[in-house]
Amino acid sequence: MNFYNLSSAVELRRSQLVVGSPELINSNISMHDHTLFSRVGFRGRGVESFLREQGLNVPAVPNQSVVTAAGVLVLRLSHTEFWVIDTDKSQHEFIEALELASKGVANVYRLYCQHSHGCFLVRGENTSNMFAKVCGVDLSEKAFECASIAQTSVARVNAIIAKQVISGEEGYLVLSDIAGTQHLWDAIADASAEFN
Amino acid sequence: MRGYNRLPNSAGLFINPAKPVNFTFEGKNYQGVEGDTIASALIANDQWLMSRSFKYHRPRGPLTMAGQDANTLVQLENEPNVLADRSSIVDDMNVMGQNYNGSLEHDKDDKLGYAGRFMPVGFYYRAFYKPKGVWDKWEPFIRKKAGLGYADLSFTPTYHDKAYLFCDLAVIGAGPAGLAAALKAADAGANVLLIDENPIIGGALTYHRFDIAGKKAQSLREELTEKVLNHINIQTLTSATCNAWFADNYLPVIQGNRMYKVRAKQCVIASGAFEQHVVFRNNDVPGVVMSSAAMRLMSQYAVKPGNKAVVLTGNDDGYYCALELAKNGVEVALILDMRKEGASPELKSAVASIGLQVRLNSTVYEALPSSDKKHLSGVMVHDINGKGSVSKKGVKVDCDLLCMSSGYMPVYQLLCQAGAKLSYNDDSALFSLTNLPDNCQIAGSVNGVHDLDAVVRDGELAAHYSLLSLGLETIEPQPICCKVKTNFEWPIFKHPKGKDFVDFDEDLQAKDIVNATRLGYRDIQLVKRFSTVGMGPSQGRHSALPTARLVADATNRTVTETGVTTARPPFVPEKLANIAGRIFNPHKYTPMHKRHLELGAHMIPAGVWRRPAYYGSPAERDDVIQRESVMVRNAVGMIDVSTLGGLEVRGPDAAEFVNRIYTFAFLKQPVGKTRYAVLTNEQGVVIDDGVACRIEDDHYYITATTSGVDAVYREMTKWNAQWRLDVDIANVTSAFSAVNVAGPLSRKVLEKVCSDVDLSNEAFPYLGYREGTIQGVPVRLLRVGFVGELGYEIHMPSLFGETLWDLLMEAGKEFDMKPFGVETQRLLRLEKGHIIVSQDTDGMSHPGELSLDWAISRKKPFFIGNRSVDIVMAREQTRKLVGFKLDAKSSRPKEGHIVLASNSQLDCAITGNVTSSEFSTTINANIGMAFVGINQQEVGSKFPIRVDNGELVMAEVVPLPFYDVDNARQEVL
Amino acid sequence: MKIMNCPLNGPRNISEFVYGGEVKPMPDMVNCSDKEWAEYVFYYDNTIRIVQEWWFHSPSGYWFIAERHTASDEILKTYDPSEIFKERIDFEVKAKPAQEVVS
Repeated sequence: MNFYNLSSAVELRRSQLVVGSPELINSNISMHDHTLFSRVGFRGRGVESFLREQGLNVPAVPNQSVVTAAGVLVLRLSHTEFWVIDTDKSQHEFIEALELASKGVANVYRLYCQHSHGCFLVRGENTSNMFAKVCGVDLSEKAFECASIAQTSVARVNAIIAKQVISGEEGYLVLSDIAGTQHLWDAIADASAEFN
Repeated sequence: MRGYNRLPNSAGLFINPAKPVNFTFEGKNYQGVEGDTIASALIANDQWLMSRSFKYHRPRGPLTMAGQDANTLVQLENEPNVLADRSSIVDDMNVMGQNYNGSLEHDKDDKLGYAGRFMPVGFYYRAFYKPKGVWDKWEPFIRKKAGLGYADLSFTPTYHDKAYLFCDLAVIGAGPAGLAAALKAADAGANVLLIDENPIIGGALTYHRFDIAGKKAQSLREELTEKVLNHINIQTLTSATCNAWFADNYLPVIQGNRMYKVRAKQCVIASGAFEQHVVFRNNDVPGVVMSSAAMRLMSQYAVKPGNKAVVLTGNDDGYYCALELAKNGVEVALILDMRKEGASPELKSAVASIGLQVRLNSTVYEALPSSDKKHLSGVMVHDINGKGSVSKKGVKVDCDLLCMSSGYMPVYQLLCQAGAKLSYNDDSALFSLTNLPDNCQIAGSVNGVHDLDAVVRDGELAAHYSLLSLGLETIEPQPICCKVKTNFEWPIFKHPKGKDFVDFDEDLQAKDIVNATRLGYRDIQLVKRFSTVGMGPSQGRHSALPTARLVADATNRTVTETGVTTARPPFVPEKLANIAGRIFNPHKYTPMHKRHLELGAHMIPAGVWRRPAYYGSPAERDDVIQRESVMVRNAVGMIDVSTLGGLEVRGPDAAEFVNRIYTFAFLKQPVGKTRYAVLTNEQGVVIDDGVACRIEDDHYYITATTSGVDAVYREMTKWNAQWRLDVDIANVTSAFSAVNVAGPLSRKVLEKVCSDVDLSNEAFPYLGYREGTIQGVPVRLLRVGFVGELGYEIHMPSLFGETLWDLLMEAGKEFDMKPFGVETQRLLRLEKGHIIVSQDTDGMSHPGELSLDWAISRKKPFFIGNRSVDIVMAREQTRKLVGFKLDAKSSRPKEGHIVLASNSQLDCAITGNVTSSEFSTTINANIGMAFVGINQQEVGSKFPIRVDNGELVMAEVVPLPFYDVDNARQEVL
Repeated sequence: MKIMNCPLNGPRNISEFVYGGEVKPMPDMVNCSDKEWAEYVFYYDNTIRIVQEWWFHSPSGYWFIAERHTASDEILKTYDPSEIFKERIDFEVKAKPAQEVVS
C-alpha cells in the first residue's frame, strides 16, 4: 500500500468551528482558530533522534515545548511522543516534508493530530483567570511557566494546553478532540466574557 | 441616624449612616441605612418580632445576629427562607414574615403552644400512621402547617458559575487567629487566600470586647486589617462562605453567584466558636439574645439593643458585654453569674466601679414576656442549688434585654469533615478537636483558645505548621497554652412548665430530649432522628452541646461518649443555582454536522455525539425510515459513520497483538483484507466488535463501536503495558470521518469520484480494503456489508470530511442518492441479522448466546476472554439470541419487552427480552431479535412477548438473516 | 475532590483518571483449575491493606500503577508500569484439557 499522506490537499481542509464574530472576544482575551494550520505528531522510541536529524531542537523532558525562530512549535507530550506544529501558517512544506521523511523510519509512528485535534490560540491579560473557570490546573504565571504543557481536562473535555511565545507574544495553544472543539470554543468564549 | 434605636457615639463598622435605605416589612415602611441587614434595620426601629417558630408559632426575634439561628427566616419576593440577620437591605425591598396563619403580629396558630403537651416528641411518627392510609389525609394539612416560605415559580434564571482558585494556604475565618495566620504565612512567602463570611475582616474584633478599657479589639483589628489588605501575598474573599472541607483541601467557597473551587496545599481553619445559650423557661422570647448578638448590634450596626438589660453569664465575657452595654447607654440592671466564684478581681472591680450589681451562683429560671407576648418584660432570678436545680423562690427583675453567655461551641463542622475527632473535656466543659490531617491546621477559639494574645499566637502557630509542610519553614515551633475557661458546666435549668428550649428551630424542650432517651433512643444519632433535634436550619449550632449534655446525663455516659451528630456539608444552605450554575455538557459533532442540519435531519444523541436519526420530521418517522431503507435496498444511499471508533496498531508485533486482543485468528490475515473482530473481556462477555483492516504486515486499522472505542483503547494499552509487545496503539477515532455508500448503485457513485482504485468485484471483492484518493484527498475504502448491500465505507481525514461529503452527494445525484440516518441503518442491519454490541448484548452475553462461535479461533494460545469463554460455553446454556417475526398487523414489541416461558401461565418465568424491533417494508413484517429461553430457539416455534398494556403476542422464531440469506447482494455483485 | 500524582503529568484532580482494577497476576490459563480462574476474574480481597491499582490518565492516555491504602484512601506512591512489568510476556500454544472442549 502507498504511504498515506495526511498533509496533502491543504486547500480542501475545512474547520467546522463556528467562531462567532468578532473572533476577538474582547480587549483582554483573544481567540484564534488554528485548526487548519499544519501539524504532525510522532510516537516511538526513535522519534527524538529522528526529529534531531531533521534539524529540530526538542524539549528534554515531557510536558515541555520549544519553538523555532521560524515558528515551528515542538511539543513533547511523553518520553516518546512529539507533536510538531506550524504556528503562523507559513511552515506547511516543512511539516509535509517531515511527515514524508518519517516513512519507513524504525520506531517512529506518525500520529494524525492534524485531523484528530482542533487547535486554537488564546491569549490576553486575564487568560489564566479565565482558564480557572474551566480547568482544574493552575495556569497562572507563578505556577505555569512559559514552555509548559498541561494535558488535562478543560470544560470537561480532554485538552492539551501549551504556553509558549507565539509570533512574539505569549499565548496558550489549546488542542482538543476536533469533534468537541465547538463545545470547548464556546465554553472558553463564555468564560472570557466577564473580562471585558 | 435612621431608626430611633441608633447609638449616637458608635460608628457601626458595617454601615454607612449617610445613605438611607427604604424597605417594607409586613407591608409597613421602614428606613435603615446602607450596610444594615434586615434584622439590624428592624431592631433600629424597635421591630424585634421577625418570625414565628416552626411548631408552636411562638414569636421569635434575632438570637445571634450572625445568621446562626432560624429565628430570622423571612420571605423576600423572589426568595424564601432568607436570614434577616445576614441579608442586606436594598431600596424598595419588600420583606414578609413566614410560617404564620393570618399575620406575623396576629398568628392564629400561636395557640398551638397550648396543645404542646399533646404533641410530644416523635408525635408525627406515632400519631398519623394508624389506621393504615390515614397519613394521606393528614399529609396536606401537616405540610401546610410545617411549610416555611413559598418559592416563586415564575422566577427569572440568573447566571451562576464556578471557578477554581489556587493557593498555598487557605485560611478560613478572618478573625484574630486567621489574620495572624495569614500574615505569618504571607510574610514567609506563601500564597494565601483568606476567606470570611462577613463583609469586613476582623471576626470577633469587629464586635467583641477583650479588655476592661475597651481599646484592644479596635487597635488590633486596625493594625492587622491594614497589613492584610496591603499584603501582596494575600488574597481576601469577604462575604464568602467556605461550605465544606473535601479531600486534599478541596474547598467550595460561595461568594455571591460564584462558587469557588479552592485548591489549597495547606489549610488553616480558624472558624471561631458559636456562643451558647442557657436553657430556661421562655428562653426564646424576643429580647433574649446571645451576649455576642447584643455586641454585634452595637459595634457593627450602631443599634441600641435595649434600654434595660440583664446579663446572664457563665464566664468573664458576660462582664465585658455588660461594660459595653453600659458604655452605650444601656442600663444594666444586673449581672447574673452562674459561677460561684465569679469573674477575675479586675473585672469585678471594673463593673463595680461603674455601679453594676453582680449576683453570683444565680440564674434566670424563667423569662417573662410582655402582655402581648412579643417582647421580654422581665426575668425571674433564682439561686442555683446544684446541677440544674434552683431555689424555690426567685425575684423578678424588670428588663427588656437579656444577654446570655454560657460558653462556646467550636465551629467544628469543616474540621470534622476533614476527619477531626471531637472529645469533651469535663474540666473545661468544652469540646476540643484532634486528629487532623497533615494538610489542615486549627487555630483560635475553634481550638479552645480564647485569650486574645493567645489567639493571635495560635494563629501564627498554625501558620508555622503549614509553612513547615510547604517547605517554607524549618524550625519546629513552640506550642502555646491557654487556661481561660469559657464554658459553664451545666447551663440547663429545666422548668416543670417547659418551654425551656434546647433547639429553637424545632421547638424542642429539655424534656423532649430526655424523653427520647427514655423511649430507648440512647445513641445521639437516633435521638436526632426521633426528636428532630439539630435538623433545623441552624443544624445544631446551639442544640448540639445541650443535647449531648442531656443525653449523656440521662444515659449515664460521658459527653465524649455521647458525642454530637455528624456534620455533613454544606455548612450553610446552598442554592441549587450554585451547584447547577455553568456546568459543562460536552457534545461532539462530525465534520458533516452542518450538512445534516441543512438537509433537515432529525438529530439524536448517540453518547456524546449528535447523529441524524433520519432526514425528515419526527411526525413522519416511520414513513421516512421505510423510504430511506427502500432507497438503500433498491438504489443507493449514504450515511455518515464518522462516529465509528478507529484504532491503529502498528509495529513488528501488530498481528500478534491484534490476535491476543480479539477472538478471531489474525496472524494469517492477508494484507488488503478486513476481518470481523469480536472483543471479549476476561469474564468472557462480548464487549465490542468492529472490523480489522490489515494495511501492511505491521499495520492494522480497526474500527470499534461509537460508545465502546475509548474503553477498547484503554483495554488495549493496559494489556500492552503488561505484555510489552513492540507495537504502537493509537486511538484515531476523531482523525477519520467516514461515510458508508450503500446500495446496488454504490459502485457507480464511487467510480465517479475515485479513479485510482479498481472497484470491480474481482479487483476489490467483498471484505477487501483499498487506499486511494478522491480529488487528491487520501481515503481508506472498506468493502463491508453492515446493511446487507453492495457498499463501501470511505474513511477520510476529518478536515476533509465535509468536502468529500459534498463531492459524494454531487456524484450521487444522478442515481437519486440521498443520505439516510442511523435509525434506518439499524433497520437495515436488523434485516441482515447483524447484532449491535450493547444493544443486542448485555453484561452477561457470551459469544455462544450470540451465535458468534464462528468468530472465535480455538487454535491460538490466547485471547483475552479465552478461558472464561471456554468455561461458560461448556456449561448448560440458558438463553439464545434469535430472530423473530410477527405479522405486520400485530402489536409491535419494543426493545426491552420481556419474553415469557409460556403464554398459558400468568406467573411463569421470564426467559428473555426483546433487544431490537422494527417494522420492515422489505420483509413486510414486524421483525426483531430477542433473547429467548434455551428451549425456545427452534426455528418455526413461537414464543410469547409481553408488549405494552400487558398484551401477549406470539412471535415466530426465524433463521437469521431475514433478508438475502445467501448474502448475494453484498458479496457477489 | 481528591488529587492523585500522575507520574507523567503531576498532581491532578481524580476526575482526570480512570480506574483500571487491581494489579494481580494472571494464573497459568492453560493449567489452572476453573476455580482458580474464577478467583482471578471475579474475586477481590477487599481487606484493609495497601493495594496496587491500575490508573489511567485520560487526557494523556497514560497507564500507571498507584499504591493506595484501602482504609485511609491515601495514595502512597505512583509509578510507571515498567517498574513491575519489565519483560515481554508470551503465551505458549496450549494443549486443551479434554473436558473443556465445547461440543
